[in-house]
Amino acid sequence: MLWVSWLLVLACYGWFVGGAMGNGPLIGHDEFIHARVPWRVLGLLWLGGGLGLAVLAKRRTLLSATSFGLQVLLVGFFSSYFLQDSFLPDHAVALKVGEAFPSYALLDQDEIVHSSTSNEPREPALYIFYRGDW
Amino acid sequence: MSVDPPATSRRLRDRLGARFTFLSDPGGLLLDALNIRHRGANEGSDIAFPTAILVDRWGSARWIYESETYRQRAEPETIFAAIRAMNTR
Repeated sequence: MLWVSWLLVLACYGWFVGGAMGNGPLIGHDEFIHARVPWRVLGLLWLGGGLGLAVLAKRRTLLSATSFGLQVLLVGFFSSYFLQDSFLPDHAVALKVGEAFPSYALLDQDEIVHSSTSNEPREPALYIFYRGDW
Repeated sequence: MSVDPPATSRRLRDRLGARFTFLSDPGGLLLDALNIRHRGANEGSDIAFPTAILVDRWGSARWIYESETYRQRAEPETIFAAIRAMNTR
C-alpha cells in the first residue's frame, strides 16, 4: 500500500510537470488549461496522501513515518498551488464590448513606443494581458 | 501585454521565437484603466489578471475574455472565431 500511495502522489507530480510542458501524459493538457479546479488530479493526490496515512496508522515504523512526512509536504504544496491559482479575486474588466479601448503609449520589447488614441483609426489588434515571464 | 520591463519581454520573445509585439506596462496604467490589476499577486508585486481583448480598427472592443484562474486561457479556436465574427460584420 505504501508503494501505491507513492505511485498516486508521483503520478500527480508527473501530470503537473507534463501539463506545464504541454503534454500531460496521465490526465491531459486539457484539464490543466480548461478546468478551473483540477479535481481529478487533486482527488488522486489526496487519495495517495490518505493511503500514506493509513500505512502509518497500520505500521508505525520510521519508514512509514518518513514516507508520510514527505507526502504531506508534496500534497500540501500541490494542493495549495492548485487551489490558490484556481480562484482569482472577484474583478470585472472595466470595458464592455463596443466601448473604446483606453489610450496608451507604451514601450515594446525593443523599447519602441507604441501609442494609440481612442478616436484614431488603427490596425485591428488582439491584446493579451498575461502575468509576465516567470 | 505585461508589467515586465522591455528587456524581460525581449528575452521571452527570443526564447519563444514569437513574432508578435510584447508591450510593457510596468506602472500598470493600462491595467488600472481596465481594472485588471491584481495587487501583490506575484511575490508582492502587481500583475495583470489574465485577460484578452480584441479591438477593431476604430478602437472599439469587439470581444473580451476574462479568466477565472491563471491556468485558464482563451483557446486559439475561440480567438479565431472572434476574429472571424469581427471580420464578417
